[in-house]
Amino acid sequence: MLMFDNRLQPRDQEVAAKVIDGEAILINLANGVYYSMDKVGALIWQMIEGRHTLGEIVEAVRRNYEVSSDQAEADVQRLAAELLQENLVAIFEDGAWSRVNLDAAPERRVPYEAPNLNIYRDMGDLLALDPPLPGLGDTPWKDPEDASK
Amino acid sequence: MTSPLVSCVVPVFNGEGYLREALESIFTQTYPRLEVIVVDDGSTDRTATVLAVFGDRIRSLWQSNQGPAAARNLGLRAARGEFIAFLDADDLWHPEKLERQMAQFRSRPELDCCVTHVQNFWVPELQAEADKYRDHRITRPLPGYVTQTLCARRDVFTEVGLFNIDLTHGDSADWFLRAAKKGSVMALLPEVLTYRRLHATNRSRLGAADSREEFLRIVKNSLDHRRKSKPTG
Repeated sequence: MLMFDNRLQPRDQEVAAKVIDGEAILINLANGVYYSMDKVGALIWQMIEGRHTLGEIVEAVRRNYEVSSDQAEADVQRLAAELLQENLVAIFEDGAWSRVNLDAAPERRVPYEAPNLNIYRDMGDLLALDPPLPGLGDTPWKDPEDASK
Repeated sequence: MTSPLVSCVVPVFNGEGYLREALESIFTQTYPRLEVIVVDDGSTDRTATVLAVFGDRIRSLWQSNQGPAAARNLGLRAARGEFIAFLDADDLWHPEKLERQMAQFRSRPELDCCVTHVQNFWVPELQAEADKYRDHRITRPLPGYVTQTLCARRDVFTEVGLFNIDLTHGDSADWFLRAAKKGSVMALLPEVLTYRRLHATNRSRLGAADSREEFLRIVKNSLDHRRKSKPTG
């Protein structure tokens, strides 16, 4: 069970990710499966990149969207569990982190749509060979099977 | 019945090291009707000297350095074959690659593209790296949706279009995604018929970070298109 003081971190070595036009796009380079997360999901992803705690993420979602604390908590928990399940993130144990500055309070909260991790497995083969740049040198790389270490 | 002509297009940039081996792997194909088109993408090494050895067995084209996508497109335009295949100047084909692919086309008239599995291999100088990845999935055969394995009906390029010259790394993935979207019929042969050489100067290695970013954009574009064509999806 994830706790609200847990921080997650993207598994940078085998996951390429970027928020493009407000949508988070993620590719698991190990198997070519890719993912998208719109709006709330993109915000959550940016905060994960900044190593925020799940509690801080819930708070940011609540401040930016018209959503109850209970709902935001449930959705952040669910999405975080899915990201872990898909091996896109790991629990961040220690070390320094840089925060994404999301402190500026929004003018007003906008309508909420529960965040969703869209998964696209159909193109897996198509993307399986070329992108995985076995990061030799400056892109260290590990087999997903080693992820537990 | 005569076999259809297959045009083999090889883009090369400063490929003196492995080009000869790559071309030999084409000339040892068991498939009988080939033409070999090499597009020199403005090399500054002794690529031209290597090409000279092959004499008129190859058609040699030159362009100022514009990247592999532009070089493949130039080769495509010059190709006379009903089928087109590509090989990179550092990679190798199995001697029966084209024969087995063309057998697929013969038995499946609806087929547009045929790709094979790929086996990565390391140059001796990178033995340490090879050891490091010994049990890794990249040492196992991988489905090769990349140009080096591709043999396609020439008409497919009219339908899907040429390679996107604005992409430095992802032009191959971009093309396959477009082909899939157009409904091109693709076959993936289960055998390893293409060998990809990993060496110190692989293009993908030199631009690893850029390549990731480019890939994410290709995927994003592909998703946007998909959603536009299927409003519910």
